[in-house]
Amino acid sequence: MIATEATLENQWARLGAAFSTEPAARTPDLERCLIRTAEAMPDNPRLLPVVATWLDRYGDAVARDRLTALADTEASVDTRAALGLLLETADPGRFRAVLKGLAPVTPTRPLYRQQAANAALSKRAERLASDASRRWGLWSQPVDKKPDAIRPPAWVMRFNPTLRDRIDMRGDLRAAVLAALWHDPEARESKAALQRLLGASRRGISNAIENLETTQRIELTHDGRETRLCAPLPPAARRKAA
Amino acid sequence: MNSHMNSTTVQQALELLGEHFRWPEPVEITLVGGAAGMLIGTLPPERTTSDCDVVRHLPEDAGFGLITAAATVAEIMGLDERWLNSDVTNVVPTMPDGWRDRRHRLGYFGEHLIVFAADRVDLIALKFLAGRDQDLDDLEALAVTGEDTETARHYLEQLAATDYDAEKLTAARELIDAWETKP
Repeated sequence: MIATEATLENQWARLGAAFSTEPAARTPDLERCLIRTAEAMPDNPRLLPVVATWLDRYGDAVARDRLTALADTEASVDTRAALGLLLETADPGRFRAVLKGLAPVTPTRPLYRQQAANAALSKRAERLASDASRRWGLWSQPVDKKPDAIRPPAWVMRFNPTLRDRIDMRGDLRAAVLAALWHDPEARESKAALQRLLGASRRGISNAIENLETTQRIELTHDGRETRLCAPLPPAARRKAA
Repeated sequence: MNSHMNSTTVQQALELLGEHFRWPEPVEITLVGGAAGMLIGTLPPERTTSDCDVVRHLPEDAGFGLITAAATVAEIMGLDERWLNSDVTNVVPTMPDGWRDRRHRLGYFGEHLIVFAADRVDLIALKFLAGRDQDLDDLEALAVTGEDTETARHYLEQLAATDYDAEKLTAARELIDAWETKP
């Protein structure tokens, strides 16, 4: 059975994280899924250890420039801090560039709403907080990653073939361009629109587009003075969708 | 690998365990943790667990037979090889007084395996002892009462008489104190 209206846990199940729910019908928009995860973390203590473990294993699939841009435009101050905690817990080196654009919350408080609502639990949360959670202003206990809660690469790639290109690109600007073209209709309108959405330099975007066009991952069409862009799904993903 | 189990998967794994377990006489195992909570219906069905924590198997020399059968089940169902986990015995040297009388008999699985699940009140005491962020979430789902916290306190006193880590006991007491301030 496949979930057609995907909740956050359906989406993570599709990506290969062990949540006891049906997987979403298609591979989610990974960067938006991370923003939604950070938003939901205060109400679900299982998200942080499981998603941090997934990111530790498959974090190269995350288009870092796009995540930075979306965090800036679509996430609240609290969500940005929670995202910081998630990425630092997963792999601070890999996500250094994204982390630079995020900021902790003040005043500091428990990450989990249940603990924040009670003075005694709040005090306990502060005492037991990990160093990373203190830095982000959201106290939570140190996280034990759960490798056995993540499906192996053969499964993840089989059900999410679009992640393969992203991982090959190690989540660089090309991965961000592909993801934006797949998920954000306005990105297809022009190079300038794409540049605006991703907050990248004109030169960086041009280089990424040139590379993606050469490798036939995207198609350009000319409409008057504008160049429209389109990124067909890779063949394996088209087969899955069918 | 299908590493996280819900109540249906746990049930299937135990049925297969019973089928593949070979022992000349009946053997009892008692589950604690998330698996026990799901099977006795005190934790929500959407809850998952990565393993089935076993606190006791009797007779004790049946352990090897269980491990062998569990490895076969792991292979068949694609579970983590440590899905039937008795490490919890190292973490929790003793269960709350009276746990044996309170446990729930889930029945025979196969010819010789009898499975029990610890009672809600014992699961709560163990959750207070563990005290991780996700345990607090489970405690909320378990709708802890004053009687439950009393049992948990008694359990901590019981552990204090052993060589159990004093710091962990203090942390658990603090958690119970904090919990009792909840409206």
